[in-house]
Amino acid sequence: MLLQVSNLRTYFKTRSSLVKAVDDISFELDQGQTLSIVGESGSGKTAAALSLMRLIPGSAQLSGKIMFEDQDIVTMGRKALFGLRGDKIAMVFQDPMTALNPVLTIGEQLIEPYLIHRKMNRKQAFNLGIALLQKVRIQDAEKRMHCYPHELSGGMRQRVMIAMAIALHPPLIIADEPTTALDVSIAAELLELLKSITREQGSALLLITHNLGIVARYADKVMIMYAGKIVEKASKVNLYQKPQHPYTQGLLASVPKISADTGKKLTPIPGNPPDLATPPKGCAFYDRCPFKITQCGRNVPKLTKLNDDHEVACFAKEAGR
Amino acid sequence: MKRYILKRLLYSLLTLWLTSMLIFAIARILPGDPVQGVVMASHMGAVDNNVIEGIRAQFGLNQPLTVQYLIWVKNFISGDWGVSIASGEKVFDMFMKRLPITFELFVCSVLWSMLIGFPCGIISAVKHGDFIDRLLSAGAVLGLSLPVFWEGIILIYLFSVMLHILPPSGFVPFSDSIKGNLLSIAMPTFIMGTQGAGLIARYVRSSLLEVLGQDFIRTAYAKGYSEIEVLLRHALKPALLPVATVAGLTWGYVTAGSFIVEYMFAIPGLGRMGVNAIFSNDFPVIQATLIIVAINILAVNLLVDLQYGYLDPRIRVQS
Repeated sequence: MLLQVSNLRTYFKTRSSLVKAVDDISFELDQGQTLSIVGESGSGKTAAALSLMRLIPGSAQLSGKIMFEDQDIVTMGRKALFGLRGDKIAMVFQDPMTALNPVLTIGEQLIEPYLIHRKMNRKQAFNLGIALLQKVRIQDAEKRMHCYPHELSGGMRQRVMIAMAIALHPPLIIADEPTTALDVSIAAELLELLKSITREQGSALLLITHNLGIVARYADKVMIMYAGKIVEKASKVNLYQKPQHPYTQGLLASVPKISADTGKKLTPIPGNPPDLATPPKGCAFYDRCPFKITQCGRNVPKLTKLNDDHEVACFAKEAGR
Repeated sequence: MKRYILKRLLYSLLTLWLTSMLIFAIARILPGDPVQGVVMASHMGAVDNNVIEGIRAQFGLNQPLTVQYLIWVKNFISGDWGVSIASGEKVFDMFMKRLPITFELFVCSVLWSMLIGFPCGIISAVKHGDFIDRLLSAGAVLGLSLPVFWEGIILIYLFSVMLHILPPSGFVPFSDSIKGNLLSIAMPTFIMGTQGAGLIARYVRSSLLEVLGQDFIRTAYAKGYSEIEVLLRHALKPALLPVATVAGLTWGYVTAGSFIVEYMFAIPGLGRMGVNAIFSNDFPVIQATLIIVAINILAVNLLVDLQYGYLDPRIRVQS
């Protein structure tokens, strides 16, 4: 087991309330496996990803356990944490436009992992950097090393981000909506690239997205997050073929399919996600759920195993609907 | 880059042109005819109009204003800045004699304000919200808003009257005594640099705070950098680039302060020359001083713009 997260909670304290961005989630990730966290904006998926590297602001409260290679990241000391970041766990961020330093060249930023963790000299690191750019299929790699971020297209910048993340062959790569800011055609190409490199290096990939359509092709396991909680966790096949949670079903019904009858309309999920500062007493999906029963409004459902590859948190499901 | 430099240069020249016209116009618009004044003084009473017209012609004052302006500009460029009415000395010579003194004071003041302003601003931003930040921020506002003359009086009282460490006024040339020179400019430098220091501290703080909230700072942390490494390698450069512009503003504060400070501390520099000229209605000197101040400010801001364009890759490439 590479990564074992148990009862992870990330709370943000605001002036008037406590926002439970991540509220008691647990999951595991094996070496070389690809896990996807799916949820809409504000579901806590990015907060969860940042929590794994403790990249959340100092004011946030983090609790639970994040066991990574037999160390607990939550309680780890500063030195150990800095040694882990970039070397053992690397991250590809959502927006390549803002995630690169505008006043440093691509090369300077790309070789930093080597300088920080391998104590290489600049010359050695620079040559490895060129190889990295070639690996993520950037043309004229040597010339690009001297470019500034604003001289590259969005797709190229995200390639650079990927190159930076894979530099030290980390066992875990976290990609937080890596293609949201990009064109669809480039997005597919980049995901393909990310997938093939992680497979080649044997890295596990945590793919965070709001797009169920993309996940279909790249994940081994899928977790659906809603209002800071995991509502369904299943293998890819199970999730797409037998979605159990009403929210998952709603998400799938709102994804356009080319193969479907052309006359068929997409079904949106009515309503909006709850405000995390004032969460409802029972199930967070209660207001929007077409299958709700009385119990749903009173208690919060827990994840329950249906079989080895499938867990869901839904009272209606338990009651047989 | 070439176009950027040319554009900046053109703006500066345009500003200088407008300023020179304004300065020229002020001397003409002010009440009182200088010729009448001179003639009245020498003839004690009623004067023949022909005499006045004669003097007018002699000084070129009967020419149209545009011609007068062009002659003035031409003379200024060729180093003929006229003669001081008060002392009879050539204005250009007066200027050159005082320039080194004021220049030393300016450079020391700006260096001093940067020496204080940058560290204070950086500490403030890094410790943002802490007690030390509040203390430094309050200090910056205080430094920015304390009147120069008030500061001067307090410092003279403290260091000269009570402690007897620093001379209350006067200037010792560098060539006479290095120690004496430094002691004599210590208080003036401090006072002239205070406003600049406050200004720089405030700019650095807000600029660095903004940069520290950017996404690429998180990227740097994700690579495994510690807080201090993130600050040094990723945050400072983009944060300090825009602050370079403030150096120009600081220079402006120093220039304004020099008039009061040099007069107060009896330092024989350009500021004191300017103030004395105003007191004695010494028009050629006032005009020269004003135009020099304008050139000085414009030149420094031009330099700041150019180095900014050079340092920031985003501007460097765009143009």
